[in-house]
Amino acid sequence: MVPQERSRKVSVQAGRVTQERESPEGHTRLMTRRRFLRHAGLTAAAMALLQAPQVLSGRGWIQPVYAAKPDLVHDTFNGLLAFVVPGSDTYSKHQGVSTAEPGGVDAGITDVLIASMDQAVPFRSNFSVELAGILNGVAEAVNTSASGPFSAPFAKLSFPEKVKVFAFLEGGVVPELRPFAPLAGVLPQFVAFLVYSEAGVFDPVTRTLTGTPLGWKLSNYEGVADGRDEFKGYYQDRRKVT
Amino acid sequence: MRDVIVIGAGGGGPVVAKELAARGLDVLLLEAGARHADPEHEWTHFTNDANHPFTGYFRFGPADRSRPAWPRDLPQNSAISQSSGVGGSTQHYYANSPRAMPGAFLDYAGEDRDAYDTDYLFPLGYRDLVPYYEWVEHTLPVQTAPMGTKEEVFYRGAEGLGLPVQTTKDITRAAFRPQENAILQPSGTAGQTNDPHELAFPQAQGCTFCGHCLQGCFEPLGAPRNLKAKRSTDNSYVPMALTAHLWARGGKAVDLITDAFVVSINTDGAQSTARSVTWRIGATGAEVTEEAQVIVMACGAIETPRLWLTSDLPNPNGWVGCGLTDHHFDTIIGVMPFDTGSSKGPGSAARADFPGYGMLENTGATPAGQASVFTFSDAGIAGFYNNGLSGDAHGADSVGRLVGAELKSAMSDVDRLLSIAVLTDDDVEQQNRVTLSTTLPPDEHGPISRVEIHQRNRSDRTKRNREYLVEQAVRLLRAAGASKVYRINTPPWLYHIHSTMRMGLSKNDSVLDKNAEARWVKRLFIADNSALANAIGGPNPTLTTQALATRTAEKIFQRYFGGDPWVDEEAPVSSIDPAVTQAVMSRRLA
Repeated sequence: MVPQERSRKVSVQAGRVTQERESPEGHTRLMTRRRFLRHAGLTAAAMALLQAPQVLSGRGWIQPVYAAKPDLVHDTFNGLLAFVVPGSDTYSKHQGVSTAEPGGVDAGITDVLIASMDQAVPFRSNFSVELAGILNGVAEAVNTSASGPFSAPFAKLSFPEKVKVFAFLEGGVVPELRPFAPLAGVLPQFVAFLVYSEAGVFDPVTRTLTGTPLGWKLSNYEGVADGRDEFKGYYQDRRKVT
Repeated sequence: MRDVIVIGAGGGGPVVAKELAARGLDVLLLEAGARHADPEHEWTHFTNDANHPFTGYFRFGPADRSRPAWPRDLPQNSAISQSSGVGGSTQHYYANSPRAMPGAFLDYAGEDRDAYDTDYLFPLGYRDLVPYYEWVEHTLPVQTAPMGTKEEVFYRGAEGLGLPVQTTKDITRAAFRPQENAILQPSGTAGQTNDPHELAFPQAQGCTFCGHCLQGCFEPLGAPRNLKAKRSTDNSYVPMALTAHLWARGGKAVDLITDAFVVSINTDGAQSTARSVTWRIGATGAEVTEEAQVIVMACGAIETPRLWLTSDLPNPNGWVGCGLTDHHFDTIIGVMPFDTGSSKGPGSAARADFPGYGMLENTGATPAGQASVFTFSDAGIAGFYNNGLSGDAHGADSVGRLVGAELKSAMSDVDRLLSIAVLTDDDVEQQNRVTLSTTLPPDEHGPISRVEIHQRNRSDRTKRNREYLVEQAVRLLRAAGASKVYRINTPPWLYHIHSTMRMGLSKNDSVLDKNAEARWVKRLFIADNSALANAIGGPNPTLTTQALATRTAEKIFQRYFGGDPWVDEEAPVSSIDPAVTQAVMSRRLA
């Protein structure tokens, strides 16, 4: 399906995000520090924690530690999964980019993704809630009137609007958001990693799979093996050089 | 008191440990992470199980996998691919073992000598290092890589560019070649069958083409540890170090302690001589201190400067942690209208060298690894925004990360892709550095590392080199038959991390002298990638670090133990020598 702009026009040029009818100084209205922090619930120190996945260290697997607003957090991350790897789910259909076959939402990794985020920063708790707050805070700024059958503002956005959330975060247009630029850079990668990995069907106790990972099906991967009949000889039959 | 304490059992530390143990010295090898003594049972082939950045068994974290990984402070869009545990990052490396570009060294006199990082050359000659290369190449051993389908496709593209074939270990001109890899060549049923029942040792020997270098090598199943296909140090130098008394005349087995994170190097009152090491036992939190005549830091190019700084060692010229080079990595991916076998075989078995610019190599991956490459960019989302980057597509169809339907389409068949890694000969620049974070809280070992890379402000030569290589990669993929080519414009993705504690000619811009001994602390040496003087011209760094570590071991033995050098006088024992195998089996090393 072709991505469709569904709401208020937002233009993205060289990483800058502006909304029509906003003056240049409208960025202040678009996303004030106070408003942002209300959504994100972050301190300056917390901002710095988000600068790379390696900073987001964790342990274990699924633990329902997201005590606050689980539906909102789920909706946000499902909206993110649909954005990175769309499928036939309602989140993908709502954003205007969907496919006939399943996508990230159906990979069974939403809880793994949330748990990974929650356990990512050992000296903070419920990091997934804060991350959802970031995405939703910027989502509301990108489209204040987005609607849809989800609780999370980010999940209500169209695909192009979700792009603008990332463009906004990465672009560093608003000084208060600059610490999040690295996060916006690494987050899609981590989501894609999980979708195409075995995470959705991995049993951490037995360390075996409970089924065929969706990511393997989507990528036509033959699956793991102890060996393959792939040896094609040596280039120009040269087995050794000095 | 120990003769030598080596801190870090990664790519470089075990080399020093094994060499000095073979001379009969009393060596203690400390490793912060896990032992991984039984990989056939501890590891799997699952990308998620191995490489999940927070929970994978190859994460940079404690031996106890249930505990959180150790954080780093990255103030830019970037990622670090380092592993703790015995073997360090060689556990997940692709084992590419090329020699450095000769132009990165002091003695180079070729017509293109001005094309290299001439302000920061190695303080020794390339020819001085060759005997050490040969020693390591025999020990690991390093062998010419076989082909899989993805290599056949790469060579077809390289031939299409009109490049000649390099047939010597030394890099002499712009050319392509099979990698010289630290992976045992396949024999028996290895590479010939998919049937797991026919792939056990000794029926299968060497590389089985499983395609899981990144998840750690425990193939062929049932092989003694020193006969596993990939020569990560946990399969090569460490088994030799632990059995030195059995295969080396007069040798003494190394003592290995894991789950031991070194928190300080202690000096005498004047800070002029290293005296002892203090480490923290992860399981208990207790601290232990031991003295040694010589201390060798080999914690990796990020943790070595961190340990230096947390130990409050001197830094009079301000170069501790500075001058980080990372090959200004980029990735170009071609979609082919035919099978490439991208997920199979050694991770990378083909390369093309461009002296003065850097090199290209093919890289295969499992789906999760490949998707990670597609989605990690400094240039925004392809087709939508570019973060202000004006990087040229050089004939690629798009620049930036893929998401949405475009990602799904590109990932629809992982075995129709051919990825090329761009490894740039990047300049040493003081601005790219490791310091102690003042932003994030300390962990249980003290202030954490802050890794700062000014991606948009690199030197003109670095930028030019990268763009040149990208252009060559796009042309190669087109010549190989690609129907679509993506330039990712990858942000700093630190697989190759060097020169943060660089050796150099000048005391004004280096931490180590030409013998890899610290300029301001005697009896303290460094033997990891941080000791490299520069980016070695672009090739993968591990072999050069291991050759340099061998040389450093000789210098230590000569200077502080009154011994004679051996590399020019003796023949090395290979890690796959029957005597080593017998020793490994007698010690029941899995």
